[in-house]
Amino acid sequence: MDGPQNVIQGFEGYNEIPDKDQPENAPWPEDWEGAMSAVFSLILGVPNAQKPYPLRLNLDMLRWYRETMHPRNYMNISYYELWLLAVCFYLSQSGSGGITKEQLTGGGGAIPIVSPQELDRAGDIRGIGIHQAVPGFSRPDKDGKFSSTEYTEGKASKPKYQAGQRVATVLQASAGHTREYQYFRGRPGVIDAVYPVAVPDPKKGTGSGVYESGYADIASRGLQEYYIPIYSVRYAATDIWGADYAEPDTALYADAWETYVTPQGAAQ
Amino acid sequence: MNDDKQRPTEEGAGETPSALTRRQALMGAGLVGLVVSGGGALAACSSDSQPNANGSAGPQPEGPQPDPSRRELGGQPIYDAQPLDTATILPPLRDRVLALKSLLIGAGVLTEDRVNMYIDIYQNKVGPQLGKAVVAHAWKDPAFFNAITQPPPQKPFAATGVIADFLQKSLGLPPLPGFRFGPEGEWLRVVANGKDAATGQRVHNMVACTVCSCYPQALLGAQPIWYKSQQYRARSVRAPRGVMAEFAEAQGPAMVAKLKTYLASIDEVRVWDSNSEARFLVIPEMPPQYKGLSEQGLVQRITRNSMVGVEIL
Repeated sequence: MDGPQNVIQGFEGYNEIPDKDQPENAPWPEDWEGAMSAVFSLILGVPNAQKPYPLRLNLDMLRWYRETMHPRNYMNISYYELWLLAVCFYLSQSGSGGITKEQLTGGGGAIPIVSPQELDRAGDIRGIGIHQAVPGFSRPDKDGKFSSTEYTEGKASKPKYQAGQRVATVLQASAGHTREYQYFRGRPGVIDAVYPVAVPDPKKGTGSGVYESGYADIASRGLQEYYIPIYSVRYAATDIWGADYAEPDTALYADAWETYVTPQGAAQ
Repeated sequence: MNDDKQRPTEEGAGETPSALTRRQALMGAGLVGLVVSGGGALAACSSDSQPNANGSAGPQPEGPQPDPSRRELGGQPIYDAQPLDTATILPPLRDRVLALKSLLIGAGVLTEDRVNMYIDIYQNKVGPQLGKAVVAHAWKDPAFFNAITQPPPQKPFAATGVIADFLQKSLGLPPLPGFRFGPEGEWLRVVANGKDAATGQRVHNMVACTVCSCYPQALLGAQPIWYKSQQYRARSVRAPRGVMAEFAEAQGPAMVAKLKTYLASIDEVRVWDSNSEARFLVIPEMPPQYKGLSEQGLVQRITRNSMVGVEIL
């Protein structure tokens, strides 16, 4: 969902980058920071109890739920609180471990881990987002499921474009999750590299040399998986910020699922 | 808990605020993310209150007081200290994280052992030393360098397998079931500073995740705080040389001068936003004076920050 996390790119209103002197092998100055990292990493793939989530928890889902934080709070809280909210919202929806919303919000005298307003807000956003379109697919059906004549659910498709192809990224604005950030939406670029995609093999595991993860915009909804190729797109910084505002001789690279780009003329 | 007029309880409730470090006080209110650190970020910050002659904190005036160090937040701490009427005041983040952990363990979703194992892995086993071993080897072994920086076009993440084989053989790292290499390391792309094979230009690479914190953890361990900060995420894609200047200033005038010379010789700066599951490692340029060193000697001189591209060696 569009929010502070994907519009701050390029902001100049901040002061210095903090904690530049953090030692290299001390990732967590406070013990509980490691615990939060452990929690959100280890909870991936844990079985669900309830219907709305046929997919096991994936990172795309967690990233979406991070984005449901109110912008005012997002700007003021620490990194770990975002993951805390994401995990709590997932638990309140999925029923994993039999954990209930009451347990998460301080019912029965336990300390409140998250506020009921935050959980409700996340639910509202999910309720809106799962009915919206994603790039490359028109709106889903009444159950939130996508279909396409170009891509087949659960099957990897072959790349349509090649390195050197000029492209422009599509426009979108949804309450759902996307990895196409505002700063490079609608911008012209050139495909620098192609990532062919494969469905990850549960027996062999990942790491075969091609991309082995699902289309984030759909995977984040927890209902379906599509495996669509990705392009590493190179943008001239002047095409993103404007000639007078970009550092000279600077290029930006962002990955774009095939659905994020449309070809612009012949390949170079 | 639901009294909107009450400030959130902080660790050591009942002690005066000056008895806590500023970091502790801010973390109690969950406000670490945007704080500008003074010199020595992780050292306890000094109290803002005027000390008495014997060094103890003076009497505190009534109510929340302006904190000049918080200009980052617009210098309006009174505004921030008054939560919205609709806000729920929650306990400190630390308490909530530990409560969530307990809840998950109690529900059988996680175990204490697994959580501790995870923490142990990133505190003691997986960290920048792995990336440094890769960089040092790449500098000494041109075939390895080419294999990881120029994968075949149809297998853009071939570097994962090459690096996994190298680290498992040379450092005896055990393979992880289900992974070729490890979490946040299955789809690695390695970008080298210096002469670009394709264009002949001299390039400098920098890596960011402008939306969250995606980072090649299998090679560099857990992300540093600065990498996750809104400040870095905002600025890296807009002013990469400015970011490098900031890191150089923190290291002193000699590094500033060195960076200036370096950047004058760079034809292009490339910033890589890690917005898919692909993860990027930067091979910094090897300073010429390192030429005779062994891989072990090189490893001691490579820095984590140079492998993200915000510093040079």
